[in-house]
Amino acid sequence: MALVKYIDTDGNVTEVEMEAGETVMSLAVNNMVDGIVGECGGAQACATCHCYLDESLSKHFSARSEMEEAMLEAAPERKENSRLSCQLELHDDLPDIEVRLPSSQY
Amino acid sequence: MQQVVIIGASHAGAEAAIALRTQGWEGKILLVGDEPTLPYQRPPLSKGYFHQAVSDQQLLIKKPTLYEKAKVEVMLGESVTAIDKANRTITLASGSSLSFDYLIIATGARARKLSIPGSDLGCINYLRTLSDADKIISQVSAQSHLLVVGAGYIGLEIAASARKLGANVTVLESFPRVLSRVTNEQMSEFYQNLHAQNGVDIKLNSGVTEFRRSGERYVAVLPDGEELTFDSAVIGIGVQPNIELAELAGLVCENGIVVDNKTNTSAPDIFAIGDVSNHPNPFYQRQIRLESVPNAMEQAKVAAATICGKEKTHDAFPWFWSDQFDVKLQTAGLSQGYDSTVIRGDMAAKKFALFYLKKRKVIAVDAINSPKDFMKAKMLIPTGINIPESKLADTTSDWFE
Repeated sequence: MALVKYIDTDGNVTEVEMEAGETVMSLAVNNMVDGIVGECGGAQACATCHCYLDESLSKHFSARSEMEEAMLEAAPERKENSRLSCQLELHDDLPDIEVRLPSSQY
Repeated sequence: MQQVVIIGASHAGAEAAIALRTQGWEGKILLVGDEPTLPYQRPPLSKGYFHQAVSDQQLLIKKPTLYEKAKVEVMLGESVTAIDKANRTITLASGSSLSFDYLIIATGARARKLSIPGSDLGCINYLRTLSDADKIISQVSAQSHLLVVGAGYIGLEIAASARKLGANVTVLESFPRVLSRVTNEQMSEFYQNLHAQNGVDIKLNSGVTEFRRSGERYVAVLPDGEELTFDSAVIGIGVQPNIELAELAGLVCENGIVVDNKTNTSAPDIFAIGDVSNHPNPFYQRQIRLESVPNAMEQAKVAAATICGKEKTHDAFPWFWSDQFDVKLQTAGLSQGYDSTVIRGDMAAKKFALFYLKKRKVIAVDAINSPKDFMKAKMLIPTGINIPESKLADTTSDWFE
């Protein structure tokens, strides 16, 4: 199974094996990865699972919904490639995925 | 080996158990819960889980394997009957006892019960646990008639979810408006209209004096004598904190277990977190008790850090959310004590923010389908903001610039 690599602001990498049915957020929460909080459990209500997804990988995931876009718009450290990791669903056909985490979630 | 015992396999309990390990606790961690299931998320019980958008596996806060990885010993279906703070032990209903070096109490709250003739009938439900939710859902179907008593968040969310399943829904509220404890008149009216548009029958200044069986169905008697036939009912008239264990052990309790900003109770090495804790809030400068997942998670981290000898203070700003029909409410702050309000945006378009002010300072916001206003408010209100009402209302420019 492919890996999700979580990279913190200091460049430290935590690699976790993907599980289908999980999201990038829930996989982090279930593997004690620091930097993804997920307070609302995936209801798009808190933006505490904010991550950066490289543009080249974005084609593997569904596009940002209007709600996700609006939540991210006001999130700290917003960038072009910001995503809510609770909306990034993992499945069997994915290659290795890298996400970078903002400093504000530590 | 030192041992931390956590009472309550809840959101707060699960978070504390894992946080202890990630923050470096090397001793044993025991998580004791009286329900048969691993800790799960309660907010979806009245929303996504109710209308079957979320499965029971998705409800789990942490996967079963994480407890193994983190070496957390989970004891389910075990209720605690006593805390002995002098001898540092707790007693279980099964008769055995557990010793602790540190104890975290995360016993949460329970639904307030209605006590009227017929309130013990099998069709009368309360929603707090997964098994409560399963029982309610099993009694709701398209064309069945669900009666909801109490128009708070839980009652209104259940009403909305039951409508999604095609049921007929009547809501009885004793106050002249819905959500009267938490919002102003305009917001109450907004939710009343939203529910009316979606076919929910809300009866205000009403209530119920008696339930009784009527053939295959049931009848509720309203205060004015009207009789209403229904198939099942949910009572949502608030919760009370589960403080009995703490009280018996001599911990200071007042509307919850009183704690400081490190989640310490009045007894050394005993902590209380989540819905059961009555804690100081630096922004509102008073003790508060919150029924809130984000608060439970934050306090869990503070308790874990404190036990691990790390410096961490609980000063998180309260926030909440509620999903009903096509409307997402996000609330930042507590509006109690406001002296004026400002609407920003278009109520009819279901996209607006309602700001609550006290002495010209913004103290809270209810954001309807307006996540950006919510996010900014959640960040800025705790810093103390005085923004002219005209600026808050002017949608041609950002209020926070």
